[in-house]
Amino acid sequence: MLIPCPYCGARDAEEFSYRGDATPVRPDAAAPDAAEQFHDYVYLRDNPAGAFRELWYHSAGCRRWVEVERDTLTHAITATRFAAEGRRA
Amino acid sequence: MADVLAVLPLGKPLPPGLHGAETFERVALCRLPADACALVAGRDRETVIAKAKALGATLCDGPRRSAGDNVAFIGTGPGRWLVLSQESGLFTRLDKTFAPEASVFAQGGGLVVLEASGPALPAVLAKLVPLDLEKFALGDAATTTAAHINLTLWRHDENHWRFVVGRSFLAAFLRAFACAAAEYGLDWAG
Ligand SMILES: [Zn+2]
Repeated sequence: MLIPCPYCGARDAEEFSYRGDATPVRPDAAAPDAAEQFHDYVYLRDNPAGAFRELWYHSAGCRRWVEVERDTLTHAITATRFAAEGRRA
Repeated sequence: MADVLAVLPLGKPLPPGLHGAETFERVALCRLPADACALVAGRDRETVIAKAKALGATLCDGPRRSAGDNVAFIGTGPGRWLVLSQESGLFTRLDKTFAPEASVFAQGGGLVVLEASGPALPAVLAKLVPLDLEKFALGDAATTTAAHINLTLWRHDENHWRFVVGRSFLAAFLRAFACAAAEYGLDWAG
């Protein structure tokens, strides 16, 4: 599988480390149900068959976190961006 | 060839000389004396690029080699460059030029610069690095992995490619390079 890194261009997946789901957002630690929310945030993950937004670390390349939109059934990648940009958007 | 590597301790660099087949296509590899620094831009990347003009370089913020006055910048990541020079005093020169918008880290002690050439070089590189080398224009660079060894390489000119590897990985890199080049032959200058 080739992952188009925003800096390096198309690179083999072996150059990347996989982190998983890019969508969970850190909960508010001051919320009354913070413990419950943090449990879900840390441990619970969906395992979708189809479109997925995930984090890959380009460990053997530019050493940047890359957010990848990938179809888990076909491995077709529709978009990539630096993870920091995804957070700002 | 196989015999040399079989008896050579893993941590010992390949002895200079001809290794593998002796064909006219064989690859030449040598070490280049160079000082190295890492240049890391802060938030104001535009100013860092503008300041590189003082060193005669039009700095490209991408995986490319940008040459200046006795200095070369190799893009290794967004706002990050590996800077090489044959002159001494590289760290001071860079720090004076780029502070405070960028930080400079001396890397000369930890890195080795190699240069390879020869008719079979594209075929050898195809076995070493997971890159589409056909797409590489002159000056294009990449930070990648070869036999699990991280390295930065770039197409220096029409006939030469250059590599930067960690000094402690030199023996392992030479071993991998010699294996990839064995069918064409390797002339290692040491
Ligand atoms: Zn990359």
